Amino acid sequence: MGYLKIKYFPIDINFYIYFILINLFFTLVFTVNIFWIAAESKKASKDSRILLMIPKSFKDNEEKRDLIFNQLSLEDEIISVEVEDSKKVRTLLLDILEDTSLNDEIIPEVYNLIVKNTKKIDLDLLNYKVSNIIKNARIFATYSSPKAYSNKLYILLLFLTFIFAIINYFLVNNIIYRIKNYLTLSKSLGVKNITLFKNLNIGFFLIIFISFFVCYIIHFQFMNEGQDNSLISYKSLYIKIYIMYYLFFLLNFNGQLYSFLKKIL
Amino acid sequence: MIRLENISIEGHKKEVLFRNLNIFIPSGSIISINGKPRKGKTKLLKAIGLIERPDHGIVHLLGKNISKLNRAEIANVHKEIGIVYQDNYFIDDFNLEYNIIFPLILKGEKVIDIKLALKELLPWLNLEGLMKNSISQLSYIELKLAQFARAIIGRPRILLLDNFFSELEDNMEKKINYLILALNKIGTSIIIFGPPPKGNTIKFNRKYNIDSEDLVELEKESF
Repeated sequence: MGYLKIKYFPIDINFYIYFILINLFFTLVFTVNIFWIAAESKKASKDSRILLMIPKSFKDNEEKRDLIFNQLSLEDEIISVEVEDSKKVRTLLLDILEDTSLNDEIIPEVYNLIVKNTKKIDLDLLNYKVSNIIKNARIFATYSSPKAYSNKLYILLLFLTFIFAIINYFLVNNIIYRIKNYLTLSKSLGVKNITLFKNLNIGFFLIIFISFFVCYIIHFQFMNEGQDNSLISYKSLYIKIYIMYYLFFLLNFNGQLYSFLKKIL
Repeated sequence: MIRLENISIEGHKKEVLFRNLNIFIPSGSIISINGKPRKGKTKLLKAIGLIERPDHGIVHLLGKNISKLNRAEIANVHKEIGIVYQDNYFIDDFNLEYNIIFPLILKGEKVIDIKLALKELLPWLNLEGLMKNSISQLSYIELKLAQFARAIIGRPRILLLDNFFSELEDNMEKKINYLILALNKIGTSIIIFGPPPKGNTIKFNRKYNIDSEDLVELEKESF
């Protein structure tokens, strides 16, 4: 055990506990913030729909409608078309028109277009094609307007990243200061730079891994286990955050370590 | 062997301590370098021990021109040098045992060899009972002896001692002298900076005094 301390953990144990707590704090803050943004963006994308509206009263209704569907089937991004319930359409229209009596003949047919990615749909082009077949047919997208705090979440994330970068810089600076004698003595007694780099990176990798593992347990213990799909996507997002976090630390730590070792003969 | 070629060293206030110093120390020599305080003994030790680069000139150690070596090659030369600093220089987060053995662990020496070396060395220096103590619990002399243990445990080919004998008790000084002689017998070159040991157990090959930014060799009769 002592030899592991000499090689990989040359600082006092209290410092490592403090280091784990700081990492844990930042990991929790980052993941909560990023998960929140991810959930908001997912919700917005779920709420947005692309609808096709075809007026009823015109000649060759059936034939022209089939032509439109044939045209839509040529689009790669469109997966399928689902007809919206006419009663639902009627109810919605009644809500808007404040109980004005409506004849079934004037209520349009509404279809929901199931697409791969709403952002890749060129509505102008589609409308041009559709209106060539039926003049008043229209395709439009409904987007739930982004909530005002969504932007604030991004600003908060930027602010947190800035604070994290500053704190991380000084934290690493403090680590180098604490192991100053260890590095200087090691070098003067013939230990190679590569050995110091390798050992210290292994040590800090394990420490950061512990922080992330603890954070992982805290997070996913409280998340809804029923939402399997979203849980999997959150887990992959969590691992991405972990890798980014570690890479940032790695870059900062090795940069400062290199700069210190360069000064020693 | 150690060879200094046109070495110039400046002090902290940019004052010249050595100017165009040339010296050759053959392998297996025991040398004393003495001089008044602040005349550059420690600076010269750091230049020979590859802790600091001299301001000018070339240092040759063990047949290699240091200025032409890369970092990995310099680390290999460092392995052959043991240094006892004037100021006790330790890692506060390690206990005494770890402070003595950590260079060997980092250099990948076998644990069994390290334990054996420690077992042989500690009784000589009266440090056996102090191994688990933290650095702050040890006296100045105990730390000096621990530095000595750390410097020689790897059996260096060059041993540099800075102001080491000034506060040692006679009994301990004798033990140290025997250890130095034992090291010298296996070919280690030893340079004692500052006052040499009081007895005449150690036969110096040469003695120098720092004078007028140079090393002045003392006559054999004045040893």
